[in-house]
Amino acid sequence: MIIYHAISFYQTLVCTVHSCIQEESEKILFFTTSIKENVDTRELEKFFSKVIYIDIRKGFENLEKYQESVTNYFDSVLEKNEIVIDEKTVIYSGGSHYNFGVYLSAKQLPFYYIEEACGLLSDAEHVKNIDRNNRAEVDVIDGLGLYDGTNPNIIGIICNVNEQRMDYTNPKMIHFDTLQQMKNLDVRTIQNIMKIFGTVERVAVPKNSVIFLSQHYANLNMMSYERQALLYGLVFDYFFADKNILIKKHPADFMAYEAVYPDVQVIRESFLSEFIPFIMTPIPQMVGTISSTGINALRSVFEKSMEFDFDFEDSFESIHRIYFALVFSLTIGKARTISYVGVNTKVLDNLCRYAIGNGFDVALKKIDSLSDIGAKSILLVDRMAEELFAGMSREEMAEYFVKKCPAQNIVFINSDKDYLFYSPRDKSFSENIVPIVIKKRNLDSNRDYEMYDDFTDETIYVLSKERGVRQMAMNFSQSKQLDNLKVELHVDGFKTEEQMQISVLQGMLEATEQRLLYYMKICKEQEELLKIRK
Amino acid sequence: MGKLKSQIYNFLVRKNENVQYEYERYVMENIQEHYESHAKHWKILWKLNWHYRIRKNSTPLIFWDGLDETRPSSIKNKTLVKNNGKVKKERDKLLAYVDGAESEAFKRTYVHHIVKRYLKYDVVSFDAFDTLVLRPFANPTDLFFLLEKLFEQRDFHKIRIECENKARERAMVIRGNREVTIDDVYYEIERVTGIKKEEGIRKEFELEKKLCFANPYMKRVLDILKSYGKEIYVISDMYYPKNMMAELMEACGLKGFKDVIVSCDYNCNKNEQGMLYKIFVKQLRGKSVIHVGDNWRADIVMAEKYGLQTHYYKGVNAVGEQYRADGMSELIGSGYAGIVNARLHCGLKRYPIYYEYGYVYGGIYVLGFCNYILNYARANQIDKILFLARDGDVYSKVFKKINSDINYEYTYWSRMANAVATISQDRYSFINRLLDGKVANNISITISALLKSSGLESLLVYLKNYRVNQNEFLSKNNALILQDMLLDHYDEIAEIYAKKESKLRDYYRKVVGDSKRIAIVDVGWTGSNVEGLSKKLTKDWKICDYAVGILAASNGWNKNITTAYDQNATIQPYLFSRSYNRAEFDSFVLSNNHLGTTLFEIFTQSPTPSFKEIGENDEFKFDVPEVENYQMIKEIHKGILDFAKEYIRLFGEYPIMMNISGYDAYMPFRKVFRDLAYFKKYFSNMAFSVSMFSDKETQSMETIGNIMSNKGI
Repeated sequence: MIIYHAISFYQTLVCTVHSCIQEESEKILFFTTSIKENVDTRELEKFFSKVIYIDIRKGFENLEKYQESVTNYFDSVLEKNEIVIDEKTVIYSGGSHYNFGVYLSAKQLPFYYIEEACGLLSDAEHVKNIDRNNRAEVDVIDGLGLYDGTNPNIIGIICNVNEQRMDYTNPKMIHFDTLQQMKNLDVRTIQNIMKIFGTVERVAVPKNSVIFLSQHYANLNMMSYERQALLYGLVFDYFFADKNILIKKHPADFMAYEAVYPDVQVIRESFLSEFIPFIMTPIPQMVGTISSTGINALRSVFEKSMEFDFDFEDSFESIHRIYFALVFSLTIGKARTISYVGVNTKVLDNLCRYAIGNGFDVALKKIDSLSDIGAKSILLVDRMAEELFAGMSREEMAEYFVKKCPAQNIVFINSDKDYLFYSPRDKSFSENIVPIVIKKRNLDSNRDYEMYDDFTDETIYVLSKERGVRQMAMNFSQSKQLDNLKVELHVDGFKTEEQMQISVLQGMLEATEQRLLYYMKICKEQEELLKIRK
Repeated sequence: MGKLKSQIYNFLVRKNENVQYEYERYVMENIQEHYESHAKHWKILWKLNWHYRIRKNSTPLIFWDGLDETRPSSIKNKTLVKNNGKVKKERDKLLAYVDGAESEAFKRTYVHHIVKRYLKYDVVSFDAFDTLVLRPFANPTDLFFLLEKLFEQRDFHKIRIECENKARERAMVIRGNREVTIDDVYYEIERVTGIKKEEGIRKEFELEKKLCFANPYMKRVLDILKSYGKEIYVISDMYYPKNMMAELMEACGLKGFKDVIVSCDYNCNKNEQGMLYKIFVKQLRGKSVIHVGDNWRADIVMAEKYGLQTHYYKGVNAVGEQYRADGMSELIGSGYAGIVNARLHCGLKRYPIYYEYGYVYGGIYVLGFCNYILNYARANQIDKILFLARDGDVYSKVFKKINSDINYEYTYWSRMANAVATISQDRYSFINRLLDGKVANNISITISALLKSSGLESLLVYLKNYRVNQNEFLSKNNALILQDMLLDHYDEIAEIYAKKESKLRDYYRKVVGDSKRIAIVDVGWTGSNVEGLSKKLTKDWKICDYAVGILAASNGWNKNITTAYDQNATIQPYLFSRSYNRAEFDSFVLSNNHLGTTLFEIFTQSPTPSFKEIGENDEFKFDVPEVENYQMIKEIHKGILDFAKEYIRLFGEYPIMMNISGYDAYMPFRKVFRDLAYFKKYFSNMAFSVSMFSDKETQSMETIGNIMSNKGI
């Protein structure tokens, strides 16, 4: 007997495809009622001897009695369905970080662990962090090793080995490429599998399209609806400005894209991204996502793929700054290296590839050690990379940038407004600093300000020992229209030295305020420590 | 549900209809809590059983909003307040909500979660008013007040309501039901007023279209449902026929409905027998449907009677009324409440506490004040308005939204600058502010720091003559001696300050330019700033011919201050003064240990330091920056500005709504000022310099928490 457990569409797919290649005739699926209404259970039942519907919230009375109540629940389910697990039973568990995994662990039953989504085994921390927004029992499950697959009862991990992080290893991994396995099945079986997840019409794809895999951030309480809309709007405007965008929505993503971004096309039907090769004609050139694991199985299907990372989900609002910093850096020297510290690698890479025109012979180099910074490189600096400046005070850091850094030209992106070049005791930086002010203009007179209302200027800073570069920064003029957000970004340069000085002083004022707050915070912490010691 | 559990549920919940009503309603309104905290819901169920079945009470335990007509009528008019599941007493309704952000209090389900529920159905139907569409009033009929002006008919509000009732009575006689169209209503109105029916309908409908707006929460719900291809209906008990309703919806940005079913088109409604649902259900042809609405009987009870699944959307005013200030005038109060309730309680967003403070308590005051300033300026041929730093910061930003014709500027002035400039004319105030204020407030500052921070370090040499050590702390013991020293060298002080004064004069010469009649705006309180500056402008510096001060409020709690009595009206108060809105003046001044000015000024703090003087090189110098307040202040200002924007958007064309009296503007603050718990909880860490010439040596700051503690609060 083989027992499968699935609580998501992806796991259901893996279990179903996996079951097709098993010779064992008796196959039982434990399937969650939470998505029961979204699948065709009649089609699902054709692949299994029996499908037992379970409530994944069942058994959870309170945290203290959690494991006991889960065990009682599944014992009763097995008893009711006359299922006896013996030494010949093979168990494949998707969603092991839910109750069934807890049950298997409590009963010390050996089982195969199915990864949460393609490639996600090596990012178990991310799954845990999402769960923290919604579940109280996260620490219990983590302690049982059910997020990262380290539970001692796990005898093997069913996952796509090729899509794990490059530095990840686990001797228990058993490679299973769901999409590849599907392709090996006969057409009828493939169609029957797809029917489980609903009727999916073939999708006609216009020329020059990109298919974008959305994620359900708002639904998971990872961010608000408005912020999710902003994230996608920025990605569409920066990276797909010249493309037809086809959004393939995550099944639990409820964003009304048509209302928010009328120019994008939404594929109404909900289907797993693994089905794309089977329903799209022709297959778009490009696939994109922020961090959907759905892309993991699809990279080989598309000519180009563009993705970000989890860090981008928290820091995407810096994109205007990074864009203009990059454009300026490329403007001042074509054949140079752009080194960077504290800037998202994926964002830089994707901007260079997809947002900024070709013709720039430039290499991007991430700085892992201060000794890597070369004199001829342009250095982009954003968030303070603590590991790079370990042991340095703020003043020492500022002194490093202003006086000691070998890079002749440094662009401070300043997303956190921490003014890393600023020291209240030494204002000599002001001789070599030029602000670049990014202004925003509203292009929509009927704007819904509940969705987007940030029209405050953003300023990046160029610290250069080269007078010519400083002059270029002062005269730097550029604009970028964001059609989906209906905002125009523009940098106009400074007509007079006086205007520039005012901008520098404004920055210094803000920097001083930020530094004051920082010192006040340190002071308070030390006062607390003193109180404790007394 | 298992058999045993079902039996338990029947026994504990269904056996008593009051228990069932309150428990099921509580669960529906707190569905997430129901999953996460069974124990709490069990406790509530137990309390309900105890209340209704053991104690045999006939009064509600949790829900007192009287939406259900089965409730005893003796209870309907009382309003007890539900607050996080606990029943609050009548008195508590007078106090501000302190348990957190008001927009978090009701815990309405987020849009993207509630939509999941609706998507299970083929069809979703909505009630119209107070569900999909909101009016900017606490009571829908208050809109008729605005028609009085439009029709120039006294008592039109009363006439409109009476005529609608009359029309319904006539309909009852003729057709056997009370359904009427707008045509029927205006037929009656024409008979009693002479207002032509077509004109009346047109004007009322135009007004509705102008003022009604889409519930932002429901707009988003609709967008999502449409993206999923759901059939959406509107079902409404209303006197506007279908075409007018559709037009009204479209004016609010709501469209794409499969049908709009209105009671007046079918001579039946939702509320009475629910027959309108029968018509609706027939159209559905077996499709599954959920109906969403705010009226318990019409949208829930009656809909369920005809087999519809339902979702109760508690109206924004029903949620928010318990938190609104009492005592405001009917029309302004209703408009204010309508706007605030819609913003905070539609469910679209949760707002930070400081934003809400600005929006709920400060917005109407600042907007009302700015409108007052504008009207005054127009009526008195003012050429230019000067908004004094720092209170003028938020005033000038709101003023910008309503002004198109009067020149204005945010200018630098302060108590310090005033003391410097008026040193020759008012030595008493100078000494009082420099010394007495600090002594009275127990400000810890050395004599050396005091003289340095006021630019009088050259006087340190004289201290030995008075046997005062510069390192002494200022106290009652040495204040008098120090005063003597200052007065003995007053000419020297005047000379030192004369240079500073000339800088101010040059600055204001540029500011005033060619303007002849100036208004100077400040928050309050004794008016010394505006009085000082206006005298400088007109008499000493002779920069302009006329200058008047406009204060938000005049608060001379020292009875000898006669500024507010000035018969020449060189100072105009808006909210109150000794001789205007005296009751509010008394409650402000006499209650809560004179904390009123400190707390009221929170609205008009600025994320900038206080202006001190203009230096020798024409550089502007500022006092110690209170950076720890800046983020909080920015949030408060955002709230104020957003309120102003929304109010102007809706009522900007209606002077009757824009002319907010000082009384009405003050009422929300009065509510929050009644009980200092709110300030203690959220503003204790707000720091600032209580008095002029703050101590730059130690830079010690006072917090509101310190001040309250010192006053025993």
